Amino acid sequence: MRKQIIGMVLAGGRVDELLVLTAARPKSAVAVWGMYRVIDFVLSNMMHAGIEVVGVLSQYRPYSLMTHLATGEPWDYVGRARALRILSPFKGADDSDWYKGTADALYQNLGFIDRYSPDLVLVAAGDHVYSMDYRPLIRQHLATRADLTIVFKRVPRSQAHRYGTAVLDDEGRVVTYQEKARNPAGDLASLTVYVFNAQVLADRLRQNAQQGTSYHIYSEIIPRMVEEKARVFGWVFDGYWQYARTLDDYYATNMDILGDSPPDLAGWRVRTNLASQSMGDHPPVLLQRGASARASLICDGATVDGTVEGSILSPGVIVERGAAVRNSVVLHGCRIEAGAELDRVILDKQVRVGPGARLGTGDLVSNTRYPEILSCGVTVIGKGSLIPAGMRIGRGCVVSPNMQEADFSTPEIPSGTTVTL
Amino acid sequence: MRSARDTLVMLLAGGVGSRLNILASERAKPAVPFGGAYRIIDFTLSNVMHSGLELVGLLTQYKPLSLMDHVRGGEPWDFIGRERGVKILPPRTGEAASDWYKGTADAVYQNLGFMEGYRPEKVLILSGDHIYRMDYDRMIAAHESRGADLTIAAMPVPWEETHRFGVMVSDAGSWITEFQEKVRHAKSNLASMGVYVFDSRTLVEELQAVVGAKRGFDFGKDIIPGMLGRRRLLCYPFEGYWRDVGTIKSYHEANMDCLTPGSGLDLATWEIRTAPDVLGWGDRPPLRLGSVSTVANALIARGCVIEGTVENSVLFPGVQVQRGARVRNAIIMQDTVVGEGCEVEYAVVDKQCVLGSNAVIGSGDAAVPNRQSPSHLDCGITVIGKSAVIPKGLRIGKNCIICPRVDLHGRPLERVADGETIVA
Repeated sequence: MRKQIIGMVLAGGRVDELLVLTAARPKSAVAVWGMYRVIDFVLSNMMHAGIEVVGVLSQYRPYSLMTHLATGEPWDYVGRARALRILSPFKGADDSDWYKGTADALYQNLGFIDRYSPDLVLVAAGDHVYSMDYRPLIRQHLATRADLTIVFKRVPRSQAHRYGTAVLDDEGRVVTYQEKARNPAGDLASLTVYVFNAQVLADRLRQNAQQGTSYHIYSEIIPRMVEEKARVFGWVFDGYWQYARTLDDYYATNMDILGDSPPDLAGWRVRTNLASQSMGDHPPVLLQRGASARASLICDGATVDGTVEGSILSPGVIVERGAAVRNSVVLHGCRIEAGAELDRVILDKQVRVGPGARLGTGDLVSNTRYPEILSCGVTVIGKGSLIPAGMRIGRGCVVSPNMQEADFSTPEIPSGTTVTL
Repeated sequence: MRSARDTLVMLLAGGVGSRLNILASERAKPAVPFGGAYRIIDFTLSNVMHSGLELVGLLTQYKPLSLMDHVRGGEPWDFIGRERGVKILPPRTGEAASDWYKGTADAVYQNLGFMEGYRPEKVLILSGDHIYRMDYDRMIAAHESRGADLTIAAMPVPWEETHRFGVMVSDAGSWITEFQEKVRHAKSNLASMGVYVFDSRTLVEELQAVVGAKRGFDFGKDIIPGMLGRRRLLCYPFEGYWRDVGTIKSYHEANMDCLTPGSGLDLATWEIRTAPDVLGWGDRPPLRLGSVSTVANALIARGCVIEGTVENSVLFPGVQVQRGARVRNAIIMQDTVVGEGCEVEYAVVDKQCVLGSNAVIGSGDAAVPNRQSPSHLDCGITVIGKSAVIPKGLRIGKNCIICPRVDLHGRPLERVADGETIVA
């Protein structure tokens, strides 16, 4: 079946910087803004752009991602001519193997792309939070007869070293491209959204498979295309865009939705899978008589009888009477028991905080072991852990998943500590 | 699990719901929104699902569009598969017996052809008008083990409300000896919940004898009383929360029960399914509370933005309560905007209304009943119909009715007095 364009989502990579949050799920499956998973944003963008076939390249612990994507119905990828497919690594007659990088993952799935004989392939990262209308991008790509169009966003100079950056000429053509350079020439950061001519992409992937070393689009294919004066253009996006690379980023991205001029979530029309974790079956938020709640985002199925301020509660969270949750991100199904207090804490799913426990106390300090990843003084508790009654946990701490009461040797964990099983 | 061959479900969802007044003027009563995220029929359909029944015939008649959109083929309740589903059965012409449904029994009678296709041993007849959680499987098992021809679920209601129900008297073995349909002075306060398990041969025979002969068209009025003494009628007592939300007052109270611990209506454990993807309810972002909001004792759905005060209230998806607004003891449906400084008290506001800033709704004397419909509205609640527009500063009293799509901007009103009705 022929399609003018198909989408390929890069959702596979394991990323260490989110520590316990990505212990059992890829970054694209991490929860954000209460009820979404990061991959929902790119899939909703693809859907709204009218892209009818999407392949999701997934490798690292894909189970939660596969459950979430189901067969694509949440994004209306239903019907004989519409498809959302998870493309896992596979063994074949040739030399198929684990994906060695983004370019290799695409290379190994050229067969999938060929099935649809597309003119264009839109390649986008699955771990970015943004709402983008891809249609003007595609129109520009066609109008400029480009081989590749890269989406950029202007970033502060001080941040530019974290990204692939480019300098464009007057026609919007990329004249220099540098990957995470210490002192980059440009301040236009690549958002890992690419429109390729399908034939160019196939040729470049084959070339890279034979001659490449890192097997990544950003580090090999793009620099080489620019160097060889292929028609590589830029398209500049100026809307909200976030990339939760570190735990600091993850916390900041979540808090953006509570800011004074938050992203217009209703206008973004983000779709998520309401069936996974029975999200669609929760009753509305119940705020009980003891509730005092403000400046927060609270999902269905949450029950609040305590104080919630400046926080995000995912579906099914329970805040018991006298408990206080401030400046925190609380994921699905957590229970904060009577009188417990949280300040600047991320609780992964199904954490239970015992009565009277206090998490996030003292001065804001960085995590001692991971200062580059967790410096904002936020304490992170891994999935399914049980924090004993009366426990004191400082700031900038990391507690591993599935800790049980007996696993805590002391009633107090000082700030900056990492606690593992 | 009970296949259609074992027990077929016939769900009566055609009701006019006239006492719900303008809430049910443009939708069937089972489609009236309830509990911040649901429609009334969700409770019955979820019970059917949890009871392990697999095939439902849904009998519609009155304004079925929103109901059909909502139920579709039954997918939200997992009625999916070759032998599982919800089949919509509207009235139709073109067959000798077909016509508008003249009553509950007539509706089933006109669909005997549908039933025969499944050759069920038993037929479970339900109505889509009630708020409750019940395991029908246990009731069917009782029907089987006692060898009944018809089993009727029953529960005690306050004596002063018996005139709204069919009531029954049963003997020590729970066999029904008397049945009275909506009489002034009832002999019993054991009310029929409108949940019947029929042996299907009995059902066919009785329908042909009564409805076929045009002697009657209703289960409660005609079929059941006529079976007394001739058939084995079993009373199946139900203990638990069950409400007929057929009046504005009972509708308001049952919604408030969602908020009250110990009321018996516990949405957190009832596992009621709805169709969140219809109308995009499910795709709304989470509830957002502004920096000065005050909320307590409230059930608030996704997509709402609260910057004022909400107490003792139920809010459906997408409601905005702007700065300084106060909403108390109210039910506010989808996408209604409560403007800055607006005060809403003891009101039911249908969807997509605009309440202007500093408007005051539901303030006055509750003792003045609605003049046009005193029997529908004398409990102090004011009802605002869908898409009505209330200009800023307007005061609306108690027991008022503002009809759907009324835009009061063009009208030189300073206030709407207690008990007034404003029509389009």
